[in-house]
Amino acid sequence: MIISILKNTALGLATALLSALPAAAAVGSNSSRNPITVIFFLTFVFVSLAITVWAARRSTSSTSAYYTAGGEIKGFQNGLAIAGDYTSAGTFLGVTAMIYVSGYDGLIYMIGFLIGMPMVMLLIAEPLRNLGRYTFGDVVSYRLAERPVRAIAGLSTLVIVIVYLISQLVGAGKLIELLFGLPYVSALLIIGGLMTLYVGFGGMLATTWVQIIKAVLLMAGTLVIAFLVMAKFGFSFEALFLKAITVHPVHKAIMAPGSLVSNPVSALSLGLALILGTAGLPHILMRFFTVKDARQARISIFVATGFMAVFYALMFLLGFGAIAVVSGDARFIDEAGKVIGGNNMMVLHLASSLGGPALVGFSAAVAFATILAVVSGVTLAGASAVSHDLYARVVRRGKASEKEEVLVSKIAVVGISIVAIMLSMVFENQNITFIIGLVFAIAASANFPILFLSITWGGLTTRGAVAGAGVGLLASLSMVVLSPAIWTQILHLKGAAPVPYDNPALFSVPLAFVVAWLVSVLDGSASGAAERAAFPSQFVRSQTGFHIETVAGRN
Amino acid sequence: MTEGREYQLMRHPAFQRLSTERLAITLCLAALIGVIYFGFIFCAAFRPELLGRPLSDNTVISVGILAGLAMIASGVAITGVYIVWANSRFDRLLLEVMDATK
Repeated sequence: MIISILKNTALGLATALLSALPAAAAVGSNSSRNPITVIFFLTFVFVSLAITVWAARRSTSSTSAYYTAGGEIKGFQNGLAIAGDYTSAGTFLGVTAMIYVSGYDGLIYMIGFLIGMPMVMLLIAEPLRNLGRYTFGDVVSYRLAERPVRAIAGLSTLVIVIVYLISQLVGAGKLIELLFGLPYVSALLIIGGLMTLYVGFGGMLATTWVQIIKAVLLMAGTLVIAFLVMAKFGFSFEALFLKAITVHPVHKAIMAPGSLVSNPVSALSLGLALILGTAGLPHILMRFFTVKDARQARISIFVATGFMAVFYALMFLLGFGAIAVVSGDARFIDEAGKVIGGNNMMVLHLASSLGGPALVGFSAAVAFATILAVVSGVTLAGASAVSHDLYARVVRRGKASEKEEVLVSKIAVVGISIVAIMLSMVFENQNITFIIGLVFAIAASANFPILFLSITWGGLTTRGAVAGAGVGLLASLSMVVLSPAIWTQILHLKGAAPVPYDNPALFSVPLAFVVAWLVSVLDGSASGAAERAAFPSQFVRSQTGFHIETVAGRN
Repeated sequence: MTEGREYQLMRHPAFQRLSTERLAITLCLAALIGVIYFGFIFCAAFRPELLGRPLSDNTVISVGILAGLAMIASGVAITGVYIVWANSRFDRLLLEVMDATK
């Protein structure tokens, strides 16, 4: 049955896209609307659906297979998948757009994204692998009262997942709108439908392989574009940057931090969000449960970091290449003087200018694959928070069968997709990298403090953890809503925004830590004392992992 | 997975030494990243003109571009240092302790 549903969906999608072609061709002779894109895209969809069928056949009815692919993913594969999860459309499309608009500022985001990785490895990864099974809620509730802790962990995971999905879906919607001439809403529905299929039927195994393929494709696309940029400038960095400085409206200022960091508080806040946020992103944390032990977990991070370093270094070239090559090219500017399809489409215009329709087709398919893979990973993380933390443990108090839990997870996949699609219509015109900055801030404020404290500090109690996570979540969310980005740009409220900073992390992260600490210290309850007493045993397990199937380094 | 095993490990001097060593290494490396990264962010926030200065008189490439690449490289290098230590020394010593407390 599954197979036939998948087959029908693929066919339906192919027909829909192919029938959109003539319409797209009629819209204009813009080289970015071309059949090659459709062919690349359909190939990716076909291959990824085939993987989903394969994964679904290998049974996704046990929780372990569904959430973590049975812990059988190799460290190297998981490293690629983490890189895949992490190098979202926000980087490929958004960072290029950001560098195109403001030059150096775009680099600051990228550097923060990368620097978050070693932090995950040093502070979180191995204890996380040693203590958890499916979600980071497992780890935080290891010695704390399960229901309140999982409730708050599940809630903050859901919030992060939804906001992250918005950032990705906005990019996806714009991309399909531009490429196939399909309306934004239909584009959102296609992406939402595909991700529901991957995650719902294929679980973690399918999601992981979609992620790996996407990572390789993304690297290939980036390498080709970067190579062509350099070729155009005679492989001289000097010539590339000189041209970029000459044609950009602010000239030399693109080589230095500018408007993005004109406010030092915003800069520090963004920095803090990026460096600590990765360690609180549920879909990244979840990836550590797909490998068998702590050793494989650290190998995954090393592979992921190496991969991303190369990718981000190339993104420097793509961003400045976009300024140097695309600026002033009338083909990519509409009557109002704006970039066609919005700034987020910059990388495709660059591809179009350098490599013609074939390269645009490939790059668009890559961007697409990127979005699909990332939304799948994020959705799976959200669905497991709903089914594993909220449903199985909080609502059913551990009495749900595995089958029931997996079913709830699949229903959650559908629910999360619907909510995310509806919200994506509201946030249509936000820069996607900016939204991702906010996701990192919420993750750094709500998830990271209690995860870190629960692993490292024996004094943390249930009350402290719930208070810390709750305050972190509320503070970061409300500061975002009261910031100029939402208050002024989305809600169109009169007057200055109550909070002048775009990124809340500088305030909300320390606040979450202080609240968690203070409430724990003041917690005189007997349960609190028992939780403190349980720490040494948890510590030994977090260091050794001896209670799980294997010990690091031994097969 | 008996309760006894954990307490045996916990009191084992080799395990204590090992976990102290791990704590020291991870904290040092994390602090190093923090210093490098926030040094960069502070510079971007308070002295952006330092990053905007050209590397030399005959180039337009700024100090900031090189600093950015160096930041990325340092992220990989620090990850590399940790993994080499953990895969060779930590895992080996941990196995020894584990075998000793069986």
